[in-house]
Amino acid sequence: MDEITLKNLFAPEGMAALTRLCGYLGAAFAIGMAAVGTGVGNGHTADEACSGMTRQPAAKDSILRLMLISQAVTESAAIFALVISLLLIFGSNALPSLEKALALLAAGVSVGFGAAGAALGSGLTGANACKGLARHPRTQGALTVTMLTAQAVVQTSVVFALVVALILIISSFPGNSFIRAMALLGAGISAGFGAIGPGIGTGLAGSQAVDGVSRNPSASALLTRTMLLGQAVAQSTSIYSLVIALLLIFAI
Amino acid sequence: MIQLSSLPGMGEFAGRWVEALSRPPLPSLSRSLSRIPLVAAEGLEGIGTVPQWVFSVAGVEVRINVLPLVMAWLIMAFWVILAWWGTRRLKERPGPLQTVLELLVGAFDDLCRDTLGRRGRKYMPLVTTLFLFIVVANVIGVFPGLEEPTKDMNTTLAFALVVFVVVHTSGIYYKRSRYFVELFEPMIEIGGLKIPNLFMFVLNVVGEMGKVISHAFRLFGNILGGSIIVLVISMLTRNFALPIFLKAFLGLGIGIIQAFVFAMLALTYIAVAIVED
Amino acid sequence: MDAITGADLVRAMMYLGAGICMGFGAIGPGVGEGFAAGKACEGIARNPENAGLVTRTMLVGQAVSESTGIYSLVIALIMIFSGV
Repeated sequence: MDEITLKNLFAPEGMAALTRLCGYLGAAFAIGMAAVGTGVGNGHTADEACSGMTRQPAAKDSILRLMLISQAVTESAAIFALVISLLLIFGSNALPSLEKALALLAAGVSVGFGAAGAALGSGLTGANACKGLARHPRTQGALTVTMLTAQAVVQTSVVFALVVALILIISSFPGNSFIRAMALLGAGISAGFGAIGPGIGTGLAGSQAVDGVSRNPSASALLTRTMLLGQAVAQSTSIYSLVIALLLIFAI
Repeated sequence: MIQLSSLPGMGEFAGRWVEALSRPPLPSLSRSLSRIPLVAAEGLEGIGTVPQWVFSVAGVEVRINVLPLVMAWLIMAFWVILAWWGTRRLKERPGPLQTVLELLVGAFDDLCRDTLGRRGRKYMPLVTTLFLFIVVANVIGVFPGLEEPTKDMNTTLAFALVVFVVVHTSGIYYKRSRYFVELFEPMIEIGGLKIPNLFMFVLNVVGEMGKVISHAFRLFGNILGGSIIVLVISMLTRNFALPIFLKAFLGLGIGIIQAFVFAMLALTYIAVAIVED
Repeated sequence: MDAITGADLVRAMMYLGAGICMGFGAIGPGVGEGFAAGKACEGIARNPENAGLVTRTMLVGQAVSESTGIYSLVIALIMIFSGV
């Protein structure tokens, strides 16, 4: 294999190496940012669970169970990011090119930041769920259902970012056009950062809803309905980011 | 192998470090796995391709994805047969099947009546059917040879469009022209006179379309993501033990929750459109 | 690869800019609307009879805070489709 120096990295013979480089970089972004978000989110949940256990030692088993369930759902965002990084590290490319290289980098950025936002939001919801359970241990059933529903909607943000990342990884981009390459990078940034805000926002909505259910379990149907409505509207900016990302991938 | 020692100032030492780091990690693992091309390979092959029926109707080319269609009919047959069997001989002291069906139907009946009030009874079949169909559709991937129809955007978009049509026709039916006026809310008020707010109209219309897209994409993305996770893990563990449990866990966990969220969101949209407050 | 001309660079950066614009522009409205939804849920939990009024107020507030998100969307679309 001939030597690739920095001079001919961007020349046609360096494309294979460049694609590998960008794949590794993308994998780093993906799992790195996802770990940040998931760590903070799960930490919040554990924090409230511990406080709750000291306040209400009799309910410690149910608090622990709720915390573990919440953390499992929050982890799923990080698992999406992990799978994308594995695909980026261990996959090989039949058609390396400048566009493909930046597409792989964009895929990593997209799912990494998306997972960070979703995991943060999910963690906030789980934290308030544990807090509410500690205060009102009898509301466990309704609380768990509301928390799971809220977290499922929060995970939508990372799902949108995952869809864009998968499209970027799986489609073939054989050209070497700088314009197209920058457009693909822009698509990844749009999908990635566009999922942070709605992830955190829907998580905030879910956390207050779960708090309300613990105080007033008879209103749980009404609260779930309002929460879902508010969350659906808060997700709209992530839809806009998804639309821009898809436009940048397919319409340039 | 990338040699950065051509940069001025980078000594032999740095060059050797770069050399070591530029080799792929876990050499033995990657030697067997680096033959996973991302575009086509054993197992990951066909990740971007689907079998389709292509035919033209009056000059327009129609493409139908075969597998989701077949699976959807299979699920419909499953529920029709189950419903027929379960309601064949209704007893005062119900057997297990009848109990389960009564539980499901009763739960959704209460939910619809709580949320929609008097008119709720009319929408209960739609919401319950959405839940029942989607929950089986998300879980059916556990069985070998069967695939989830909700993995295809066509299925989920069809459901979201059905909900869209139902929501808006119900709104127009119950609220008549007030429904269109509500699209301009909140209005600009000048001295007691309400002027329709065009800015809010644009926001509301865009918001409604965003709701349809998010409704469809949420379900699609979750199920597709889950199935790709299982595909990649199967590749990495060489189909040893783990994938089937992972598939069952993801299918049951994510599948049931997403089906519930889909039905609840449909119910919420209907409630917003028809409930007077 | 041919040398990148100035016009190419401008177009490429416009596409990258469109992505960055929508990406960062979605953070604010997302967090804000979610916060509003959360407080609405809290209000309904305290006083379920006011649910209708609270929901309507929440939707109005969310629609207004959506506006900066729409500005980002419009700028991103302009940058993609301006054909410079």
